[in-house]
Amino acid sequence: MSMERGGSKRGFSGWVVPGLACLVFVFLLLPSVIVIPVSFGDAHEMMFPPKTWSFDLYRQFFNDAEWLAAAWLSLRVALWTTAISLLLGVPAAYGLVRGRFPGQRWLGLFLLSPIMVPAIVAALGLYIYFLKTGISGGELRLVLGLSVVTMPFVIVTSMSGLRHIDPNLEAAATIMGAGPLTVFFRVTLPLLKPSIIGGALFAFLMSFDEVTIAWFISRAGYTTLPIKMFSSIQWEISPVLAAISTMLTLISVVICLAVAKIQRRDPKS
Amino acid sequence: MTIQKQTAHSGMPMVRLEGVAKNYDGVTALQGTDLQVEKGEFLTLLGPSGSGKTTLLNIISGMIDPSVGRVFIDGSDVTGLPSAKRELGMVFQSYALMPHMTVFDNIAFPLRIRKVSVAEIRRRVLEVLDLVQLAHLADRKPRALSGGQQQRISLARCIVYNPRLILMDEPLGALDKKLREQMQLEIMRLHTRLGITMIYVTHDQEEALTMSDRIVLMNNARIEQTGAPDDLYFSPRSVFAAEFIGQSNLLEARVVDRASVRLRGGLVVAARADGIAPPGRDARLLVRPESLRLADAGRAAGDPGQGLDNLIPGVAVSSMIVGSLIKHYVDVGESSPIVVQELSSADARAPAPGEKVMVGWSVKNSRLLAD
Repeated sequence: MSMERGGSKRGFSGWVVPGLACLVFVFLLLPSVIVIPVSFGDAHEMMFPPKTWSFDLYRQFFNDAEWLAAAWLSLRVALWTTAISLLLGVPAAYGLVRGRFPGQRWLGLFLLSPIMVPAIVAALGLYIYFLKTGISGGELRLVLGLSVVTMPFVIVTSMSGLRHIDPNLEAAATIMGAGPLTVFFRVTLPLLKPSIIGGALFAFLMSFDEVTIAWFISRAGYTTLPIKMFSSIQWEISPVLAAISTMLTLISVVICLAVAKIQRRDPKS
Repeated sequence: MTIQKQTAHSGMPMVRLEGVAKNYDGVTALQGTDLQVEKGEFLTLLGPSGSGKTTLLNIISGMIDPSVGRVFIDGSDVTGLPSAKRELGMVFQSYALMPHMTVFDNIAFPLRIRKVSVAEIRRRVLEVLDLVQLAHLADRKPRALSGGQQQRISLARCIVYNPRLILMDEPLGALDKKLREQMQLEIMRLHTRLGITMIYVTHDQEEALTMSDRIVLMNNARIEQTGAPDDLYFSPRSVFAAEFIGQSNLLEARVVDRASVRLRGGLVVAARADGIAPPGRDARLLVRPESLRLADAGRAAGDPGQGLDNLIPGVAVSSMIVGSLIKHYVDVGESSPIVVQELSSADARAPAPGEKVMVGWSVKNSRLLAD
């Protein structure tokens, strides 16, 4: 009887469910995947499937100073944003999880609120804010604006990491004679490393990709890669977009795999 | 040899608490408490959960600041001094070994904080690893070790820096019974060998009776009774102490005069009631199961014999053999059957359920407690 049930169960969950899952997966994945063959096509028109195969589009990208400048700016902004998010987000998470102070819950809610606000609203808010405060450095505006939205993600991943660390480990280190800084750097931080790296990669990816906020707050002469792609699709539909998209996809996939690998190595998750 | 037996050269106590109490938002975790722990002593804080024993331990460790009162360690006032500066060691139920460090690095950690030289660290770590007989595991991560091994490493990590006091918070709570008994012996061996003062928290009365020089029994956020294990077992001062430590029969009794009490069924038995005046007062008569004896129903209540002072009638409910012991449950008119415990033997006779029996005890083995 159990054999029968097992058999019929395998019949259903063995084919139908994975089959459906595959279809949905293909449907979701196809738009991203389709640009890959396109990117190896002709330098003059976007076409699927491409008539001829070449690296022309990649060559075009790497020979275009404007595209390279945009990519370089995006990279710089993403790195700075990640650094700021970590520097502020990790200690904030530590205070929120380990600390005991009045208004703790509200502060946590406040720090995570950018996640809850629609990007377009945050973008408008930041635009007005920069106008009022007179912060005018193009790159600085991008870094500050993007940090506001990436920091909550660093805080969330760090907080969940911290909750998995036994507070007795820190207590043990303290009683053994370690000062608060020693405890943080020798015990907490090494144990939190997988969460921090995960949060950092995520922050990097988000800030590298971000369009809405960057569009609102960037000034003339500070065009990030996604903004340039966006305007390019509006005005010229350059086939080089396919090559850039392929490269961005590759970076995303590599980063996501890295996060997955780190988290699997982490014994606690 | 760096691991030396600490000697009690001065008469100063290792720990002294003066009127220490702790409140959290109106909830009392510890009522005003005085306590003194002598140098080299093995002291156990025993009590049910919520009795305040862990709060008391954490006040000594400095992880909790007392609301009032003062804490002295080795003669100096450490109230408000951070944990890191108290020169203590602590062993946790969860072991609290650093999962990202090897066994060696875990034990070396307190020495590295103290900036001990590399060669000295190596020598001392290997020495304590030998002491706990786990030298072969130096390069493993704690995760690869069994619970018992982890707790021995955790002990080694304490011993290695010669703290003046080791605190243990239910260190064997996560281990199974057999391993727990083995570890009890191990801890006692280390205590005898090193002479370090140890304060041990547990809710397991058997563990406390086995290991301690002195037990501090706690209940409802205060100290119920302090004394040596046999003191607490044979001379409990309250119903709570009698019930918490060991097995107990507590008979409902009303004081008649200085030498006798009336039981629930109306029988008057001999008891030392001088501590519990006046007559008419309700009390409980404690007789441990092993102090009770079964006698034939034929004997008269007035003629106890067998060196017994009291003999009361009852009806056998059931008997069971627990290895070397035999337990008889007898209904003597109390709200629940009392337990008579005797050594079992091949020819031991158990009364049939429903059979009339007599239960006897001598006055010196009973104790009258205020209700």
